[in-house]
Amino acid sequence: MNAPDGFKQMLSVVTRLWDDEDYAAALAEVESMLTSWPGNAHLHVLRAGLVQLEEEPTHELDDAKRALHLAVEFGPGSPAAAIELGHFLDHVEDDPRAAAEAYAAGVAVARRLLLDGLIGQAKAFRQLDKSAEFRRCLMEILHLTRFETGPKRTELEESGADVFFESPAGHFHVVQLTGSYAGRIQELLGGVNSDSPTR
Amino acid sequence: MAKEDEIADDVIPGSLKRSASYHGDYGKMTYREIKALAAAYPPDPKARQMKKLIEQTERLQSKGKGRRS
Repeated sequence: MNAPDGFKQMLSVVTRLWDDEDYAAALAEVESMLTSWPGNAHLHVLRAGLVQLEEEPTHELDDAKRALHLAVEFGPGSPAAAIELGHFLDHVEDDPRAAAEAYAAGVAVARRLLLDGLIGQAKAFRQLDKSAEFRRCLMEILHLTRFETGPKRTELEESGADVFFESPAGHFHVVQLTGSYAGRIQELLGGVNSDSPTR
Repeated sequence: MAKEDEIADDVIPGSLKRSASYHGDYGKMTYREIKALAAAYPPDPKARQMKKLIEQTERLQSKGKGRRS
C-alpha cells in the first residue's frame, strides 16, 4: 500500500467513525494520521471538529482553536480552514469580530479559486461553441470580480474598457473591466465572435 | 438539524459544555425554547450563545454524514 492509498484508506475509516458518531475513535485515528502527515491542513481541521464533538473531553477547547490556526498556516490556498476557524470563533467563543476576519480570509481564497475555475470553464465552453454556458460563466465571473480586492492597480490599469453583453436570460449588461482579473476577462472576451452579444 | 423538542444538554457534547458560551441553567430547555428566547427583543444573551453551540454541534456532526467512500 503506497502513501496516498494508505492516507485515503485511513481517511475513510475516520469518515465511517464520524458517521457512526464514534468521535473519540475518529479523533484517535486522526491523531495517528497526524504523526505521519503533520503538515496536512485537512487533518488539523478534522481534529478541531472532533475535539469539539467529544462527549468525554480528552482535550481543551483551545486545542481545537490551535488546530484550526495550524490548518490555516499549512493550507493558505484552501478556504476550508479559515472558514472553519470563523465558525469556531463565532459559535464557540462568541467573538463575531474575530470570526468576521477569519471568514473574510476564507471567502477571499474561495472566491479566487471559484474565479479561476469559472475562467477555465468559460474557455472550455467557448472552444466547444457552447455559447449559453459560456455566457453563464461570464455572468458569474463578472459578478464575483466586483467583490475582488486584489493588489492596488494604477489609474491606467483601472480605466478598463466598457463591455456590453447579454446574459442567458436576455438582459443586456454594461461593465467596466477593472481589478486584478481584468486582463484575463479581456482575453476571454477577445475570442468571442463579433456577431455574439459581447463586444 | 436539531429537532425543536430536543433538550439542549442532549445535543451539546461534553467538550462544548466547557465553552464560556455554555450555560447550565439553560441546559434543560428545548431547542425551540432557546431559539424563541434568542429571537426575543431584547434577545437573551445566554440563549443566543446556547443556540450557537447547538448549531455548531449540528454542523460538525453533519460533516460525517453521507461522506462514506
